[in-house]
Formats: sequence, C-alpha cells, structure tokens
Amino acid sequence: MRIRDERNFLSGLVLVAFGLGTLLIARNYKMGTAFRMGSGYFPAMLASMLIVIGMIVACLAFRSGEVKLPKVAWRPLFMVSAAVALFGLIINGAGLLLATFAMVVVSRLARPGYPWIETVVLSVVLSVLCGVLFYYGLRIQMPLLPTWWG
Amino acid sequence: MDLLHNLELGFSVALTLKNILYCFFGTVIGTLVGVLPGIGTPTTVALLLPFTYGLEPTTALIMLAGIYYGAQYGCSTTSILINIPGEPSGVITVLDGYQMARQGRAGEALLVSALGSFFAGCVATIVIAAFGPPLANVALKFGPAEYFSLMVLGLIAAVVLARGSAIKAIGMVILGLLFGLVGTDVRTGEQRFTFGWIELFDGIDFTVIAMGVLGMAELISNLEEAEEDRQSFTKSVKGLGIWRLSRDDFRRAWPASVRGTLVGTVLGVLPGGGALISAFASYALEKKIAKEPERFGKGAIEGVAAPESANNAGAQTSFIPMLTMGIPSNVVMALMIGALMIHNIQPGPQVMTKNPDLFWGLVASMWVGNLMLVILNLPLIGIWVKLLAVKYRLLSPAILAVCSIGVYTVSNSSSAVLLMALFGALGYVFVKLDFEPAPLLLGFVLGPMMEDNLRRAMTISHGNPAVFITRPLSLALLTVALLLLVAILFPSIAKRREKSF
Repeated sequence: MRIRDERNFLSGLVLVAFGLGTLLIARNYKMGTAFRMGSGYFPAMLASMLIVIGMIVACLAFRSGEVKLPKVAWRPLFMVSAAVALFGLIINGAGLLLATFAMVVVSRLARPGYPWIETVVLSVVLSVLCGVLFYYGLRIQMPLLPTWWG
Repeated sequence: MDLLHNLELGFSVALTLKNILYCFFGTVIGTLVGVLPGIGTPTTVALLLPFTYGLEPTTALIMLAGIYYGAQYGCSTTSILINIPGEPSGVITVLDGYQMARQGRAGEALLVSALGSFFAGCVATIVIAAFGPPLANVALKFGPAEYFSLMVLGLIAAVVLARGSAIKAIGMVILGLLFGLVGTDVRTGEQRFTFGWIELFDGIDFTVIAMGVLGMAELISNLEEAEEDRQSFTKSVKGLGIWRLSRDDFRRAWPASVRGTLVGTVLGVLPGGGALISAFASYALEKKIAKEPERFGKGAIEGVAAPESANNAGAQTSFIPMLTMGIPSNVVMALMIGALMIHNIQPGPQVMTKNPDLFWGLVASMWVGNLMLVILNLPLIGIWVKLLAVKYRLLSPAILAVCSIGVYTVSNSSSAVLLMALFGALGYVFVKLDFEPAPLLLGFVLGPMMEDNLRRAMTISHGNPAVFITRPLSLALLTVALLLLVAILFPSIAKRREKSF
C-alpha cells in the first residue's frame, strides 16, 4: 500500500482538516435538539460529512493512477495576494490613488523581467483611471488622497 | 381579455418618456456593471437605492430591474472574453464561452449570448404577465421541507456540473455551505466562526468569496503560465467578423436557447432560484441530451446559448415570488423589497390589485429594456472585443484594481479586501488540488437558507426527519437528487463522465 495519487491524498487531508477545524471552533456552540436546533447542529452535521468525504478521497488515492503533487508558483501567489492585502491595509489612510498605485506596482512583481518604465506608467494611468471612474463617476465612498496628514 | 388589458396598462406606464429614460439608465449601468468583474449587481443596486428615493416607486423599480437583467447581458461578455464571470451567474458561460474565444470564436459566442438573452427576455416577460398570478399559487404550496429538498437537488445538480471528481465536488459544496454559515445565526443570535471579528458578524459577502476563489485564483494561475499562450489567443480574436454565425452554429444554438429559456423560466420562479441556478441547470441539461457531450467544456456553442438564455429568463421570472408573495429569491430581490418599503408599498399578493400600474408597468418595461439591450449591445460587442487586444500583463493589474475597489465598496470596509486576498490564496490552492470553485460558491449562497429551512421543517414536524419523505413534492425532489447522485458515483457512468469533461 502506498500513496499513488499524491494530489488527491492531499486534497482529502485538506477536507478533513477543514472538517476538524470546524468541529474544534464549533465545540462550544449549542447543539439543541432536532426539534429545536441550536447554532451548532447544522455546522456539526456538515463538518462530520466533510470529514467522511475527505477520508474517502484520501483513501481512494491509494488505488488510483499515479499523480505527483502539483508545483506551486510561489512568486505569483505571494505577490498577487500581497498586492491585494496591501491595498486593503492602506486604502483608508493612503486614499484611492496611492493605494491603487502601490497595488499595481506590487502585483507587477509577480513575474520577473517587466520593464520598470512600463510599471510606472501603468500604475499612474490605472490610478488616475480608477480615481475618475470610481471616485468621480460612481461616487464610491472612499478617500481619494492620503488622509495621513489630516 | 384580461391579459391584453393588463399589458395595455403596463405599456402605457412603461412607455412614458421618464420611464423609458430610467429604464435606459438602468440597462446601461447594468451592462457596465455586468462587464466589470468585482462590482456586482447587488452592490450597484444598493449603491443606487438612495438615488431612487426621489423617484416614483414604479420608475425606481423599473430602473433597478434594468440593472439586474442588464447585468445578465453584460456578464456574458466578461465570461467569454477574459474568463472571469462579471456576475456569479456567468460562472457557467465561462466553461464554453472562454474556450470558444480561445478558438477565435469570441464574436459568435457574444452574438449567440446576446440573441439568446433577448429571446429569453421576451419569453420571460410574457410568462410573468400570463402566468405570474397562477404560478405564485404553485410556489405558495412549498413548505420548508420542500424548500430544503429543492436546495439539496440544486446542490447535487451543481456536483453533476463540476468537472473531474464528483466526490471532491461534494466536498466543495459542503465547504461552501459551511462558509455560508459564518456570521450571526439568525435564529439564536449567536456568533459563529467570526473569531470576534466585527466585519464577519454579517457573514462573508458573496463578492468577496467569488472574487477570491474565481477571479484572483485565476489571475494567479494565469501569471504562472507562459505569456505567449494568452497573446496568441488575443491575436486570433482580432479582426474577426462579429456578425457571422454559420448555419451549423445557428442550428445548434437555437434549440439550446429555447430549452435554456424554459429551464430558466421555471427555475427563476422557485424561491432560492434565479439567474445562477438556472444557468447551472440548463447547462447540465444540454450536456445530458447532447449527442457528443465531450464537446462541452471545449467550446460548444450550446454551452453558451443555453445558460445565457437561462440566466436572463431566470433573472426576470425571479421577480414573480418577490412581486406576488413578497419573498426575495436572491439578494437583488431583497433590495427590491427594500425599495418598495421605502415607498410604503408592502410587498405581497396585494401589490397586483392595489398597485396594478406598478406590477404591469414593471413587466412591460422589462420587454422595453430587453429590446434596448439587444440594440445597444450588438454594436458594442466590437468595443468589448477591442478590450482584448490589451496585453494580459497590462490587463491583470486593472482586473485586480477593479476587484479590490469593488469588494471595498460592498461593505465599505478594508477588511473585505483582506478577506478577498485570503480567499484568493485559498482558491489558488483549490486550483492546484483540482477542486472546482463553482460548487463551493453555490453551497455558499444556499448555506443559510438551507439551515433555516431545515430548522423550520424539523420544528413543524416536531423533530421527525420523515417529513422530507412523507410530503410528496419533497419526496419527488429528493428522489431526483438521489438518482443523480447514484448516476454520477456509479463507476461505469463516472468513467464516461470523466471523459466527457
């Protein structure tokens, strides 16, 4: 017996982990009865089903075709997530223009070898476009300019 | 003739200059919103709600409705051209629409979806007018047990739709249901899975999770691929005749469009239904009855025509439960009810008798709006196609910016953006592990509703779960769900299914 489908084995483990995590977080929620269900009844039901399904997926990995673990592209994953997170973190203080500018610059780091001049031009153009479209056009409620200095 | 008389009243209301103008505003804004990923219809409707205070209720509703079905038109464009659904209901169109675009048939895909949507819009308008009142009576017979069973069926259908492993898709559905439960439990008022984070007390917004696991995850995967791939595809789209629809395409598309319209019309009426489920179900149907199901997912024109017709039909007929029973079948309908309440109109069966001009004016305006959309959108397809000439490396930061700003506006909080970043990373993990995001999203939408109906059904039956099989309608729905489940899990069929995706 050995794991043949590494990807599905991991997939099963992920599902089991989500199920166990749910049970752990929900351990203090009231179960209630079937007649009057508490806040923990349905989550516990779903989490148990999830664990069973995750185990089936993991077990099936022992008797299927060979699949290796997929390669993860760490750089785009990290940079894109970081770009969005950065936007979220600074938007209230930095305002729409600066936050968009920063996000675009960081997201461009997702792939190596982009010319710097293109990054700068693109960031400026996109920031201005977003400002015009969302702030002036759709009148979205967010600061346009930095509010750090009052 | 009652119907003719009613429609006459409706058109006399819808065809006043003011109402035509606001209908036009609504459809144009809707199309734009549908095209832009990250700014959902609910957000837009919510944003514009304050501006309708000053309008007459009928005019306000006509404009808000225009946004909703206009967005169904618009979202097909984004789904087909950049592989990101502008709206949740575009998730299905992505499957074949984007493949068609890759094969240089983006023009055909867009044309078929516009014409299919128009056809569906016309049919749905007639259906609302003719069958609105009697259909509402059918829906009235649904108790919580039936609702619950209906949702089970809907979710199983979503599993049938998913590519690859069915059991993993079931896992995604359950995970989606769990994500849907995050927030305040409506029955007990207790916080669940919020980690004391105030922003989570109202639950995770659909936009956040959809943009994360679909939009961002896709973006990351795209950045991982070699860039030439994307460029060669945009080149093949350029210089393409938009108006050409070969006889073969037409022959395949029109019956699919008719079937999609029927599915959408029926499913839109059911509570919990609407554009999203209609698109899912019609795609499943097309694949089931197709002679060569293996074409689906690889650019089958039926796979665009059917769900695009269905989501438009479903979007429109979902007004029926809202207008006749005061029950919102989705978020947008809930906002519509909010708009009615502002004008002191209590949604319910009495709307049709007390405010006939509102009901029939709205119905008539839908047809007017659909006509405007098809006239407006066919020439504009050229502009959308031109958008594709932009290199992906220039487009991807723009998509990211629109997503982030859109998500921010949903809740006016920066934590929504952080949450989206989290779901984006999670979505990428799902992509790598070969999990499908669509079942997750459907589970997410239905999570709270399912729990609520389960509780109500069980309370009514005094805790006896037999209620789901003793009520005939509920039993029928569950039986169909079970048959579907057996069919996909049964090995020999499963093997054929694997090949067909």
